[in-house]
Amino acid sequence: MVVIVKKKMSLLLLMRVLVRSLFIQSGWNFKKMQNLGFAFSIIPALKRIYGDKSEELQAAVKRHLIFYNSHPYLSAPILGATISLEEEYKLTGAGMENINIFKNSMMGICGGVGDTFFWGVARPVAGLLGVILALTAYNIYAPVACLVLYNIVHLTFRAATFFSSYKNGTAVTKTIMKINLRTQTQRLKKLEIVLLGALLALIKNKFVICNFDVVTYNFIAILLFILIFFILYFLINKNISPALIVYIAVTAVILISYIYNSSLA
Amino acid sequence: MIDILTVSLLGALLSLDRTAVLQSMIARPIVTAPLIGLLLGDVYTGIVIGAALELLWISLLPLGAYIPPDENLAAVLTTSCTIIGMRSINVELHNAFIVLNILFFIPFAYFGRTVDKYVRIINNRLSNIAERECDNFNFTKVEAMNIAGMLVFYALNFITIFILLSMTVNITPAIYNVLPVFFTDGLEIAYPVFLIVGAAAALWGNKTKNSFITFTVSFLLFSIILELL
Repeated sequence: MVVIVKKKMSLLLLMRVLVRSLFIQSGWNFKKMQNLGFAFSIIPALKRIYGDKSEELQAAVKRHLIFYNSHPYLSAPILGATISLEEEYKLTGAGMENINIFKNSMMGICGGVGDTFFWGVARPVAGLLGVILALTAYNIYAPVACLVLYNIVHLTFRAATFFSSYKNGTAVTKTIMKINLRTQTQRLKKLEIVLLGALLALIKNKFVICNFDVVTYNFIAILLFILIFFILYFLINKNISPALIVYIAVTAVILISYIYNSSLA
Repeated sequence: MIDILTVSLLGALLSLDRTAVLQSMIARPIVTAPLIGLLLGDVYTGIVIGAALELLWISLLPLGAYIPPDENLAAVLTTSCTIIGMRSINVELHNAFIVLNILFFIPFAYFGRTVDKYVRIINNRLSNIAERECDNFNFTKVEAMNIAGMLVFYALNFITIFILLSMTVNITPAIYNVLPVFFTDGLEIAYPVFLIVGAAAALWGNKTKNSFITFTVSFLLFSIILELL
């Protein structure tokens, strides 16, 4: 790994910080949100920079116990760049305010971009793949596939952005964040919609068993599609929670079953 | 029973992934439910339940201080009650019992959200302690406060799952036994409802300009492909 002359961080130490950053939300509190996690992650690096028990270390830890809230995965690049900034401060003696200015400005951007990409599209796509697999003959692999695919993206992202932002400091962090994730978000959204069509087709294929001819079968398929449209319309217009819609739909199915059963008797 | 204890231990551990550690989709129903199922000896029921619960709340993003409904709690409770319940009574309609349990435990996801909120309120104290210890040069204690937060998450989730499971494990089998035939028949065929509503929720959460058209075309295409297979 790269060890630049003026920088004091060894690969081992950086790995410790990265692993600790997985716990960024362990101490999540309403008062200062992810502050405990951030301090927990960065303290090994601060100890290397400022020594084990000094006034400087205390000031640094105090600096990082302030309010902090961003997307948990994007704590990695912010941590990397912050360590780099702390080293600069130790070396030059100037730029202490820049550290928190940087953190505060990155919090918002990173939070937004991370939320849209990871919670907005990456997680649904992985979940969708799991659900699709669960409907096929390979259902035992559904959780495995979902986990593996998602975490390849997730962990690579954390590691790559962490080491890159440590090496390159603040400027590159900003550009990396803006460019990469937005285009990937759009691409994944399209993939998600295609996968949703596949999911609905699988549902139709597996659960709608018809002894009728092909035309009637397709008629039912179109009916299913209209049903989804109907539910969508409800969701959009009336802001009803999906859980409530599930109850309404199941009640409707039971009603149909009642009518069917009493017509038999 | 010993099962309730093991489920609570594992369920609380898996719930850590929801907020405290990693957030790597281990706490999603599609993974948690099969794992609980594996613990209790019936993975396939777990996969069925996981697939049903996975997409329902997927568009409720944990932005800022917003806590979405706790799908992990719902998955753990549903899977364990279903598998334990199927041991005690004779269930002819497998899917019907599963659907009944899912419907019964969906509201608990909203209760789980309150539990999560209390954990975070308790953690406020940890933040205060950390700041105090920092002033006293006790940096190890500052680090320990973060881990303590994780333990608070674990403890409260363990207690919640244990108590709720002990209270509810016999309810759904009892309900199932008194249901009339048309009801269980209806429940049996109602399983796809979860998947369809979930798909609708996912589509609504990510609609773009031409999403309906893309969706329709994809649906028709895949229907034809599956028809030919």
